[in-house]
Amino acid sequence: MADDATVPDLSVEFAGIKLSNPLLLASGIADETGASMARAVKEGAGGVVTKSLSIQPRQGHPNPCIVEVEGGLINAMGLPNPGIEGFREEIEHYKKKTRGRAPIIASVFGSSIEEYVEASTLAEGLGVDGLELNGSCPNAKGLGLQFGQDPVVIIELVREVKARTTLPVLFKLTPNTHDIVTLARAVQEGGADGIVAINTLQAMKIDIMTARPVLTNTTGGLSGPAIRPVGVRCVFEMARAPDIRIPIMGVGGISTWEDVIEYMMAGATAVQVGTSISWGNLNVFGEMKKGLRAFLMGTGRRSIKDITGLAAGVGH
Amino acid sequence: MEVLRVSNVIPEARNIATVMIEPKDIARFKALRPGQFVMVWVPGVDEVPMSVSFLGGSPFSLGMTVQDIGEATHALCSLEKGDLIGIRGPYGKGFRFPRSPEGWMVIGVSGGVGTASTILAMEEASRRGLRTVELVGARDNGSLLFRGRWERSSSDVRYITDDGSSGRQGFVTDLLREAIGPLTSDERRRTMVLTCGPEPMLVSVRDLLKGSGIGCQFSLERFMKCGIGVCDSCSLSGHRVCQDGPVFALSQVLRMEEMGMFHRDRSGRKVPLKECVR
Ligand SMILES: Cc1cc2nc3c(=O)[nH]c(=O)nc-3n(C[C@H](O)[C@H](O)[C@H](O)COP(=O)(O)OP(=O)(O)OC[C@H]3O[C@@H](n4cnc5c(N)ncnc54)[C@H](O)[C@@H]3O)c2cc1C
Ligand SMILES: Cc1cc2nc3c(=O)[nH]c(=O)nc-3n(C[C@H](O)[C@H](O)[C@H](O)COP(=O)(O)O)c2cc1C
Ligand code: FES
Repeated sequence: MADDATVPDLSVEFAGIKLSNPLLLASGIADETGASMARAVKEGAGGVVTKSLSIQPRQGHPNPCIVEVEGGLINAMGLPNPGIEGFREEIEHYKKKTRGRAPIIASVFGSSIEEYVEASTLAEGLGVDGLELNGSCPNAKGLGLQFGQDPVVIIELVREVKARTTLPVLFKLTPNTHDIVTLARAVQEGGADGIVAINTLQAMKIDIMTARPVLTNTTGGLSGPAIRPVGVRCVFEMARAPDIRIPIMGVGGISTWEDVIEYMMAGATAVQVGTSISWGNLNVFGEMKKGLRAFLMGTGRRSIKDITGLAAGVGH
Repeated sequence: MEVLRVSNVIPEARNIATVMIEPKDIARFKALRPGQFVMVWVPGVDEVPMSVSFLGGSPFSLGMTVQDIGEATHALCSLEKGDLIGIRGPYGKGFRFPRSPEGWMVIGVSGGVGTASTILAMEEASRRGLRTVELVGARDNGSLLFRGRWERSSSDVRYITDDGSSGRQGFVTDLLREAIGPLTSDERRRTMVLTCGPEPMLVSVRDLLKGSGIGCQFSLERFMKCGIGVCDSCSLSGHRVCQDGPVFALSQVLRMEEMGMFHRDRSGRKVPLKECVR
C-alpha cells in the first residue's frame, strides 16, 4: 500500500521513450504547428505525435472534410501536411518551448515502402524521439491503409524502416480489419518497438435533404467517444495474445481519466488523446492527470504502471 | 449540421449579399454571442466560415453577409430563395462586453466586409445601454454596408472611404486616432474597442492602441477546415482561431508574432500575408 503522503507516479516508459505521464496528443489533432504542440505539453501532455508527414507537402481534401455525428465526428482531412522538410521549423519551435520535457514522435506515411523508408529517415533528421508509421489512414486513396491491412506488407515495411533508423519505431494499426491480432503479430515480427491502436473507423454521412454524402471525399473516419469500445476491445485482444510482447499505446475516444484507466486495464502502457480536445479544450490533459492521481491514491497504488493489463490478465 | 432552405437573399452593396435562413434549432442560435461564426456548406461547392451578421426577427432568422471573392462566396451570393445550404455552429468565442454600462464607451472599428462581424456586436452594445461610437470604413460609397442599421443603433456614426465618395477620405484608423486622442486616462480605462476588417487594418489598430490604456477585441480570420479545434489548420501563433477565437483580446494579439505577417496554406505551410497596405 502506498503511504498517503506519496504522490503517485504517473511516469511510464514506452518502447524506450520516457514519458512523465502516459498521455500523448494523437496524430492529426491540434498538431500542425510547433506552438500548438508545445501548448498541449503546457496543458499537461506527456508527449506529442505530429500530424502525419509525407516527403512532399499535401493540401488534403477540399471542404467539407469534417462532419459531426452522434458520439464523435467523421473526418476526411486527406493527410494535409507541409512536408517533412516544411515541418522542421515546427519541431525546432516545439523543442525550444518544451526543452526536453516531453518527447515528440513523428508520424510518417508514404505510398510505397521506399517512400515510408525515405520519410522515416528524413523525419529522423528532424531530431524527433520516435517514429510512428501511419499504416492506417482510411482517407487518402492509395496511401497508408492498404499497407496496414496486409500482414506480409507490414512485416516488410517495418523491417525496412527498422534497418535504417536507430529510433524506436511504432506502428499505428487500423481497426478496419477482421483480425487485428494478426496485424499486431506482423508489426512485432517486422521488429517494431510498439503498437499504436486504433485509427479511425471507416464511416460516412449522407444528407437526406440533398441526397449527397456530406464529405467531399464521400467517406471518412469516425473518431470520438463512439469508437472507444472498439478501441478498448482491440487493445484487449492484442494484450491478451501471449505471443505479443511489444507495448501497446491505446487511442480512440478517450476524453476522461476513467477512459485512460479503461484502456490501460485492457493492456495499454500509454494512451493518445485526439477528438476530445475539440470539445474539452487542451486542458483535458491536466484534468486527466488529476483524476489518474486521485484514482491511484484511492486504490492504494504507487504507480500508473500497475494498471496496465489488469483486465487482460497480462502485464508488461 | 442542419440543412435548410434559404429564406431570402438581400443585396447589400456591390458584390455583397446577405443570405438568410430560418434555423430549426432556435435555442442554439439564440445563445449565440456576436462575433461567433458558422460553417456554411454549399452542397457540391465548398464549406466556408461566415460570421453571423443578423439574428432575430419573426420568424427567427439568421443572416450571413457575404462578399463575392471566389468560388464559394460567389455560389453563396448567387443563391436563391429555396436553395439548400448546410449550417453548423455557432462556433468560437464572441465579443465580450463590460458588465455594467456605467461610464463605458464602446468604439466599433469596422473595415470592409469585417462589418459583418461587428454590426451585431455594436447593436448588442447599444441594447445593453453602452455608449457607442461607430467608425465604419469602406473602399467607396458602393461598398459601404448597413447604413440604416448603424444609424439606428448609435447616435454617433462616422464614415470614411478610401476615395472620399462617402464620409471623409482616408482610413478608418484615422477616425480611431481622432476619437481616442482627446480621452483622459480615466476615460481610456472605460473605453473598449471592437474591431474587424482586413488584417493590415487590424495591425494598425493594434499599433495605435498598444500602451494606450484602451482595451480592444479583434475578430481574426485564418483558413478553416474543421471549425471545432481539431485540425489546427487555422493555427495562429499557437492559437486555434476557430476555437480560442475568432475574437481575441489586445493582450493576446500583441503576443502573436504571426499576426499581420504570416498565415498558413491548406497544407499548413507558413506563407507571408500580402504586403500591408494601411
Ligand atoms: C471566422 C471567419 C469569419 C468570416 N466571416 C466572413 C463574413 O462574414 N463575410 C465574408 O464575406 N467572409 C467572411 N470570412 C471569409 C470567408 O470565409 C472567405 O472569404 C471565403 O472562405 C472565401 O472562399 P471562396 O471560395 O469564395 O474564395 P477562394 O478563392 O477559395 O479564397 C479567397 C480567400 O478566402 C480564403 N478562404 C478560402 N476558403 C477559406 C476557409 N475555408 N476558411 C477561411 N478562409 C478561406 C482564402 O485563404 C483566400 O484568401 C470569414 C472567415 C473567417 C475565418
Ligand atoms: C481531424 C483528424 C485528423 C487525424 N489525422 C490523423 C493523421 O494525420 N494521422 C494519424 O495517424 N491519425 C490521424 N487521426 C486519427 C487519430 O490520431 C486517432 O487515431 C483517432 O481519431 C481516434 O482517437 P480519438 O477518438 O481520440 O480522436 C486523425 C483524427 C482526426 C479526428
Ligand atoms: S479549423 Fe480546424 S482547428 Fe480551427
